[in-house]
Amino acid sequence: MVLGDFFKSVKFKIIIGIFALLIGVMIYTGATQGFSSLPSKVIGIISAPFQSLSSKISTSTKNFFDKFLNADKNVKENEQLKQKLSELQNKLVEYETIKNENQQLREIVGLKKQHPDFEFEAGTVIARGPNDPFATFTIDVGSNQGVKYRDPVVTPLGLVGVVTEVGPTYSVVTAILHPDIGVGAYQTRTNDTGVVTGSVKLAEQGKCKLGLLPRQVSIAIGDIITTSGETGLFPKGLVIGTVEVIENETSGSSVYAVIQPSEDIFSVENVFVIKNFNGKSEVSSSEKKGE
Amino acid sequence: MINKPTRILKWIIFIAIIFLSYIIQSTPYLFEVFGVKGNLLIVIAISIAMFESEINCAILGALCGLFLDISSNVLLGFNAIILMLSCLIIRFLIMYLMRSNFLNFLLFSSITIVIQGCLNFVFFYLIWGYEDVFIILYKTIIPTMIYTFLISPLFYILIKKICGFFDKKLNK
Repeated sequence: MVLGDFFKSVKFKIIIGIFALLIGVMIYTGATQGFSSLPSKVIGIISAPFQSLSSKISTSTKNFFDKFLNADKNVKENEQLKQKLSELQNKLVEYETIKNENQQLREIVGLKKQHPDFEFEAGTVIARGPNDPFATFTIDVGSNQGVKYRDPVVTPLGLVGVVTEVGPTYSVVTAILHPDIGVGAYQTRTNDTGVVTGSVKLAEQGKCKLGLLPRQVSIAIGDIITTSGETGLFPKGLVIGTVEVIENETSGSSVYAVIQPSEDIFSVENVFVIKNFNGKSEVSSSEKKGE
Repeated sequence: MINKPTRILKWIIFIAIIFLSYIIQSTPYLFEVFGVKGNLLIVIAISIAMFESEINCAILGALCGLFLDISSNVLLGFNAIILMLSCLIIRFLIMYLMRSNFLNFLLFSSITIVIQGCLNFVFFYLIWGYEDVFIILYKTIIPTMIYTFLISPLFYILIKKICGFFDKKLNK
C-alpha cells in the first residue's frame, strides 16, 4: 500500500478516532481532578486485587532478602537508632505534652483516644508510581469505604500525605514530600507557624521542609512539628516530623527548617485515612493541589 | 474471518502481557535497582510496533500508554498519545524505509525512551517551576531511561517469538 492510500483508508480513520478519544480522555481527566476517570476506575478495580497480591509477595520477598543483604547495615543502624532513641527519650521527657501526643500517635488506639472525633479507614499500600521522586502511592481503600478527595493519610507515627484521587476501591495518596502539597504546621514549644511542603532536593532524601519562617525564628533542631489545623483540611496536632536543620531560603528574606518526617514515606506499607474529624472543611474537587 | 480464534488468542496474550507488565511496574520494590524501575510498557509497545500491523500497533501502543499513565499517576492519555504516535511512526518506517531487525529496534527504542522521558520531565516537573528540578532528570529520569533500554531486548525477543508463532499459524 502506498502511504497516500493509507490516509484515505478506514484504518486511518480508526486511528484518528482513537487519537481524538485519547485527547478527550486527557481533557476530561484534567478537568475532573480528584476523581478517577472511567478508564482509571475500570483498570483500578480490575488490577487492585492483583496489585495487592503482587505487593504482598514483593514485600515479603524483599523483607526476606533484606535480612541477609543488609545484616551489617542493620546492626549499625540498630546502634544508631538506639542512640537516637535515647536522645529522643531525654528530649521527650522535657516536652511532656509532646510526649503524650507522640505516644498516642504511635498506636492507632492512642490516636483514637486523643481524637475521639477521628473516623479512620485502614489501608495498605498496593502500588507505587514507578520512579516517582515524590513517593506517590496507591492504597486499597476508596470511595466505597467512604474515602474522599483531600482526606489526610496517617500512620501511628504521623502524617504521610493526602488523598488526591479517589476510585471506588483504591485511592492515590500524594505524600508530604511533594512540592504541590502545603500543610499548615506549627511547633508546639515555640508556637512558630509555617507551611510544610516538599522540594525536589529534599524529597530525594525522604525529607520535607517547614517554610515561610521569619529570620528571627526560635525553632531549634529536634523540635517536633505538628499540623496547625487552621485550614480545616488537616486535624490539629498530627505529628509531621522533627526539625533536622535550619537553612536560609534562596531569596534570603526568610528561613526554612528541614523536616525529617516521623514516618519513612518511601517504605510505608500500612496507613490510615482520616475520613472525618471535628472542624473538617469540605473541599471541592476542582480545588487545585496545594491550595 | 479465517483463523478468528487464533487472532483473538493473540490479542488476549498481548493484553495479558501488557496487564502483567503494568502490575509488575506498579508493585513496590519489584525489579527495582537502586530505587529505579524500568518502563516495561514502553518497550512492549515498541516491540509490538516492530511486528504488528499499523492498526494493531496503534491500539496496543495506546493501551500500553494508558496503563503507563495509570501506574505513574500522571494525566490519563499523555503517555497513551506518545506511545500511539511512536508506534505508528515506527510501523511506517518499517513498512516504507527500514527493516524490522534487532538493531533498528534498539534505535527506535532508544529514541522513543528518550522522547518519552524528556516529555515526561518537561510536562510534569520542569514547567511547574520546582526548585532543583534537574535532580529529577539526573537521578530518576535518565537512570530510568537506561534501565528501560537495557531490558528492552528481553521484550523484543518475547514479542518476536509470540508474533512469529501466530504468524505461522495464521499463514498455514
